[in-house]
This record gives sequence, C-alpha cells and structure tokens, in this order.
Amino acid sequence: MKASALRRLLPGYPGTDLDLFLAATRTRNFPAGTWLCREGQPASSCFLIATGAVEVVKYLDGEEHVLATLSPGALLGQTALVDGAFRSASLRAVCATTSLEIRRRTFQRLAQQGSPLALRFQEQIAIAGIRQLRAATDRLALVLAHAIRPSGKRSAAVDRLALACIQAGTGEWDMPLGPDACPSTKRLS
Amino acid sequence: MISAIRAVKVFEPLCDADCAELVRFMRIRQYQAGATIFKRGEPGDSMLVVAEGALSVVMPGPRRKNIEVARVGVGEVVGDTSCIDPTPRCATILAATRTTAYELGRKELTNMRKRAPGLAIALMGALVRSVALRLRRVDERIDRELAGHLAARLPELRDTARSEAGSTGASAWTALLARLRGSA
Repeated sequence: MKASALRRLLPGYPGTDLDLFLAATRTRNFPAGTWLCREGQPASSCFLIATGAVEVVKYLDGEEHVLATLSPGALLGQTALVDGAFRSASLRAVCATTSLEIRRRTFQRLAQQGSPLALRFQEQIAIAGIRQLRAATDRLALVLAHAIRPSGKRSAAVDRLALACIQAGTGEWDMPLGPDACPSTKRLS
Repeated sequence: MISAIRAVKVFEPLCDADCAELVRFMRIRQYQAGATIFKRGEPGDSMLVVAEGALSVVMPGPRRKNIEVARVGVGEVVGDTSCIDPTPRCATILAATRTTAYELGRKELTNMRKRAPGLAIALMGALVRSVALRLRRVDERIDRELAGHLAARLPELRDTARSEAGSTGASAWTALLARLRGSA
C-alpha cells in the first residue's frame, strides 16, 4: 500500500506519520469468510481496514450475532496495544479484505522511542476511552435515576437504556482514526 | 513534590524518572479553605493532584442547595480526563481546607508533547489503563442495576423478538434491538 492511499484512510496524519505507519504495519489479505481474529484469543495487535469490510461477531448462548459491520478506515482492537487482554469478539472478512496490522511489540518499541505516531495513537485511544467512560457514567446516572421503579411496572426508560448499553458495547469496536474519533457518542446520538 | 506524584494511583505505571520529569510540567497552586477552584459547567482542560489538604466535589441538590458528593484527598486527582479531552466541568470543586495542589493543563501537555514525547506517551498510557479500569467498574454497575429489570422483561422480549425474526428473516438479535427500540 502507498502513503497516498493511506492518506485517505487516515485524514489529518502528516506524511511522516503515514510513512512510519506503513513501515510499522504488515499488510494482510483475508478472503471472504475468513477470520482476522477470534473471541477469547490473546490480543496482541490491532487492525486498520484498508479495503473490503469486516464483521464484528459475538456468540451468545451458542448463537452467532453480528454486532457491527465496519468499512475501510476503521481501526479495530486498539486496546490490545496498551493492554494485553483477550479479544472480546471475533472479526470476520465479509468480502476480500486487506488490513494493516500493527503488533503491540512494534507499538511499544515506537512508544519507547517517543515516536510521534505512537503518541498520536496513544492519545486517540485515550480520547476514545475517556468518551466511552463519560457515556457510561451518564448511562449509570440515568439507570440510577429511573431503574428503581415499582415492581411489575413496565419502564420504557430502562428499555431505552438497555438499548443504549448494547449499542455502546458495539460502538467500542468502531473507532475511525479521524481527528474527532468518538465511537460511543456517535452511535448513541 | 515527587513523592506526592509517586503516591497518585493514576500515575502508578510511571517510573521514577517519568514522575520527576512530570513534576517539571506542573504548577503549584494554593487555595484558601472554601475557595472555588472549578465551577460546574465552565470549560475544563486541566487536572489537579492534591498534595496537601482536601477538595470537596459539589453538585446541585434539591431546593438550590449544593451537596458534597465526594472528598478528594492527598494523592488523589480531579479532572485527569479533561486534560486530554477538554469538556465542561461536571461538578464544582471547592477547597475543603487550606489546600496545595499540582496542576497540569492542556497547554503544559502540548508543551510536553514537543519537549518530552516519551513522557507524554507514558502519561497517556497510564491514563488509558486508569480509564479502562473505571469504565469496567461503571459497566459492571450498570449491568447489576439493569439485571433485575431485564431479567423480568427478557423472556417476553426474546419470545417476541424470535417470532418477529422468523417473520422478517432478521436475526433474533436484530429483532430484539428493534423491539427495544420500539418500546423506548
């Protein structure tokens, strides 16, 4: 992939960062129906979708659910770069898909070198997390204000909150790398 | 000053050298007891670390009375997230007693990005960990609060969603979301 093509995916990134990004990532091609990663696996990298489309898939009670379908420019699994947890959902290529993968080890090396790219990434991950926390805190405040109702009384307000919580859960997977990346509020608005 | 920074939970992942460097970007602030430090609704773009004394977090209560909802003591932080992502202050902060605090604002953070990018990355990383932990706690609390309500409603919602999924060809999950949306 060329820096000119990457510029469309990462608007606002200076050319030096785009070159660094290309040098730090590896291009991976996934045929339709194949998995980028599976739920429960250790998470050690994140993906930027370059072409194609990716489904976020989760199994609940043995049933498959597609939480979101993401297009080029979306960054997936970014918390793996700072927190070595497990994948909370699976990612599947809907059609022939190309992604750029950055591994945690590579990211940490860039961070240790004080690379501007690592700083930009770290800041966007922080902002996305902060906005999710604010949205979650607002939801909690609403839940506490409305959830305690007389038993048996149907509460549309709490249904709305349940929906917001589910949407926020899927929103965490959709973080475009634009200057105003804000997954949860975007989806909740 | 470094020992006060070292004691801050949010800064735990930072090494001693990072803490020493962080101090150089912070300003010392002193407040008399009762002084208003941040006002609810005003733009917020700085964080405070309490070195001595205590802060009072105040929210509007019934009949225009202010209620103290929390105390922030030595080694604790307020406004750490607005430093990275500015937002209106969600509560008023008063000095509960005579207080000394270290302030880090957006301007200092911009300066840090240029002069000490390694420290800025480490600080962001520490904040990401702290935010992730808090997010998990809030989400768990929401789950607990909603569990009772949804446990009562879920069988009904699921049955309706399944029958709707059958008739429209949608997945039960999509139908459940549509159902919740419809009742909202």
